[in-house]
Amino acid sequence: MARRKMSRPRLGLALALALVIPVLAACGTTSSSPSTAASQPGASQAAPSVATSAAPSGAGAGGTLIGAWVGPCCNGNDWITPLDPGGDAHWFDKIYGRLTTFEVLDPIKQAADFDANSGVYGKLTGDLAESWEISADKLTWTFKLRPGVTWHDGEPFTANDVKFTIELCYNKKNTMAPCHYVTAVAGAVGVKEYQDGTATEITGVKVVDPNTISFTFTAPNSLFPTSISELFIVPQHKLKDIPPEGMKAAEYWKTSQIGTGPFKWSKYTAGVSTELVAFDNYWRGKPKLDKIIRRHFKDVSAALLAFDAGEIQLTYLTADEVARERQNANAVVLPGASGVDNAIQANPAKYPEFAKKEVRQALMYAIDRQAIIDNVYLGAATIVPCLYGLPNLKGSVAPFAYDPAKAKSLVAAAGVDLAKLGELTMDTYYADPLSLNVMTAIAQNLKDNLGLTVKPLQITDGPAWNKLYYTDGLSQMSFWGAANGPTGDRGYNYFHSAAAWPTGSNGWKGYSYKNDTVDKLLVDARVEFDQAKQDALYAQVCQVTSEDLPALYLWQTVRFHVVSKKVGNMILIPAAGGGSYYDAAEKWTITE
Amino acid sequence: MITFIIRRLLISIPVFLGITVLIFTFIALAPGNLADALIRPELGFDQAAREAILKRYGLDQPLPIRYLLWLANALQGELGYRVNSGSAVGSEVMRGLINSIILTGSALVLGILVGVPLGVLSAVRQYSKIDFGLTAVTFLGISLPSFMLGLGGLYLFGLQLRLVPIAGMTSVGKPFDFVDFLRHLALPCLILGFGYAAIFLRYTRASMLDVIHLDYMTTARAKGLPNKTVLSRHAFRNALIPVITLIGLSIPEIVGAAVVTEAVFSWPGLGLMMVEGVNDRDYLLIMGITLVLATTVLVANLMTDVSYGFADPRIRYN
Repeated sequence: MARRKMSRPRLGLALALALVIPVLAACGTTSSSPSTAASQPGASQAAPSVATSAAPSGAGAGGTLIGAWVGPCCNGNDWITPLDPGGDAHWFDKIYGRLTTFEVLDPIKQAADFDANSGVYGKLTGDLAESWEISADKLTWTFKLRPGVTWHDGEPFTANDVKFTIELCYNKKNTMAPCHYVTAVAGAVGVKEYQDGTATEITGVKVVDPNTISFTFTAPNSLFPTSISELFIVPQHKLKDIPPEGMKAAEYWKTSQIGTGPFKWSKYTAGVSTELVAFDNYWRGKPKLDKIIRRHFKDVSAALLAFDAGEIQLTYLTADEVARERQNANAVVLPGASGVDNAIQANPAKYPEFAKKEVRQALMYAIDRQAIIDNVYLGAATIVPCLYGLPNLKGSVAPFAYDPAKAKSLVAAAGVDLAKLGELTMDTYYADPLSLNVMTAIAQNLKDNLGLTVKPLQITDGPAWNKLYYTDGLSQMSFWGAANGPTGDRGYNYFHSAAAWPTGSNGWKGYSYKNDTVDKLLVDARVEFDQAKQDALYAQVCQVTSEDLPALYLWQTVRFHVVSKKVGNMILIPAAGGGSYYDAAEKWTITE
Repeated sequence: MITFIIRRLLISIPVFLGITVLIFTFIALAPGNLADALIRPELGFDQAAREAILKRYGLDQPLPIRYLLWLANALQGELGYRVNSGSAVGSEVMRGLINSIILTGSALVLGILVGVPLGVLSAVRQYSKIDFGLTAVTFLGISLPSFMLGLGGLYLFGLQLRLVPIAGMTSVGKPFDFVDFLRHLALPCLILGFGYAAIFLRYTRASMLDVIHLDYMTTARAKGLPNKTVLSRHAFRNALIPVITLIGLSIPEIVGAAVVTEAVFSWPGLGLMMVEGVNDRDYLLIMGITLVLATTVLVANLMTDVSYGFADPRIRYN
């Protein structure tokens, strides 16, 4: 056998090449829009300002804001699209516009004195729509679009784009999971036929002229302008040739996506960052910042360290870090309602004991919610009496107090021995340690007060949880989140019998909640155009469901962001559950 | 040797196919499927929509047919496209592989360069202060979880001392700068390398201790060879076999084993990509990564076997 030795210099060269070649190759792993003009970083002259304060007079333009845009979940997914934004809506609103949006009540107060349940959303205002009105028969909403708005490529924004977006939402072939929050559109004339394939368009959505679009419903829908606020409008001229089946995976979303927002897509580097540059022709005026960069972090703690080191100017903050960051002289902590209630759902289809209202009420009495909020969430949550937390929606309904004796007596009166159920699994899709601690505390309460043994189980993969909970209906007990606002119509999706799974989120395979009174209240609220009367109807929904307990709505958590004081004029609601609001990103400044 | 290599390569083919069959089958048996990940939640009940998706992705075919379709495409270099982003799996896997090789590969080299010599030193100076000191450090390296080291390292070197940047591969929003890149690489590489060095040190030490007390070592010394020659030529070379085995076993780790470190340092490597693939039930991505992983394992094993011959003249393959 002939053997050859590799000489030392040759070995060294091979090692050097092995290390250097991949490094050089790695330098080319970015994709960028060919049409993106290079930004010209201007000399920023902005004086330091509190993140939510008005810009100091004489504040200059230019500069780059780098943020993390992370949250309590889903940070592994740095690749999503505007029709399926989830908690990333406050990133996509830099690129896209909606027909309507909400003003923020008082950003200064938000930072200084925040109450999750009083809310921070102001009145509904026009974004891409200039105005809207209802017909005399209250069946047709007509929106006048803002004239002169253009897409980032210079093409005019028209009513055809709105109709295209709506129809894309309801196209069954579309593989994206879009339009979660526009269920109110489902009542438009022709949606059913369009989805059945018997019509090629939604006839109730009509382009009146390039700047006018109307929506005709089968029944009055007072909440439509609110519902539509959560839908980003996408460009027809760019997407019409992409097959709906391939929409989610289209290369377009990471190379050349365009919107009507203040910043336009510039560069995406997989797993590293996404860069946006100012859109000079933005209809509200040219943005002051040159560039916004989203750095992709898989780990929230690493993002916070990057913030503390001054590498980024914005990130999500876990509740246990709030006190420390409030001591940071260079930072402002911004609290915000998550827009999500955490709830427990016990499965009556598997355990008939939970079909008894008294037993569900006993579970609620047995959980010391305030102690869990104080000690585990460190105060960053507020008890809710039902799905609704906003004062106008919950009315005077009081939440269940912690009362172990009452819990025991209710279970005894129902003739149930929960200890005999054996060990139940409480599943969740929340993957963070905080949620595990919360579930452990709940389990301890249930064990101590009712003898019920519950074992928390975090299922980190979405499809597996969906299959367990919805498709198979095998969940024994579950801990999950329910979107709770900004209007009471959210309740329709959880409580109305017409929204029984799989049509809506009411129940799962083998079970759904049905209460004729609640059904009527929810429908009446939809057709009620008087705000006070509508609120009163939702308060009644709250009253009935707080007694019925279709699910045990526990609390709404507060979420936090921390922003550098170098940033001026920033409005940010850390509602990782989504939500539409006008954050005036075109006015943001940074002192570099 | 050539015959041996050819024979091993030929044996590798069925082994390789076996690995891909197993992984493909396990993915198919896992709860949930691609349709669950792709279908819109509100249409989850819609059998027609579900069937359309199954058909589009070929999931309506029997498992063997699906495997053969994948294999036929793979042999032509077509690995398909990612479910979420639509990117070509081949280029995505290559991107992740390069990033993982840079991080884990450099850490492995570092671990070998530091761990093996210190292992020899520790064995030669058995029960000395150096030996005890290195043993203590070694246990730290083996027992400390990488996420703890990562976050601790970021806090100390990134935040407090400001010696390195916090996470990422490069500074964003700036042109590529090699020095900047090396600064980003330094800390995750050192942390991973620390773990490797600790393991190599322990194995080298144990292996050397096995050898240096054998009779032929005494003979080598008795015939007047200098201690340095005895150690390098007679002891170290014979002690290398288990170390080479360990290095061979470590090489496949380059392909995506540093999931936690990649997560803490936001390093877009193959490990994180694999986790995303599993969560998305993205079987094309998982198979693409498996292809690379299986190839790496087989090549690493072959390299290990060949290296035995270089390290120990008694080993012949013909």
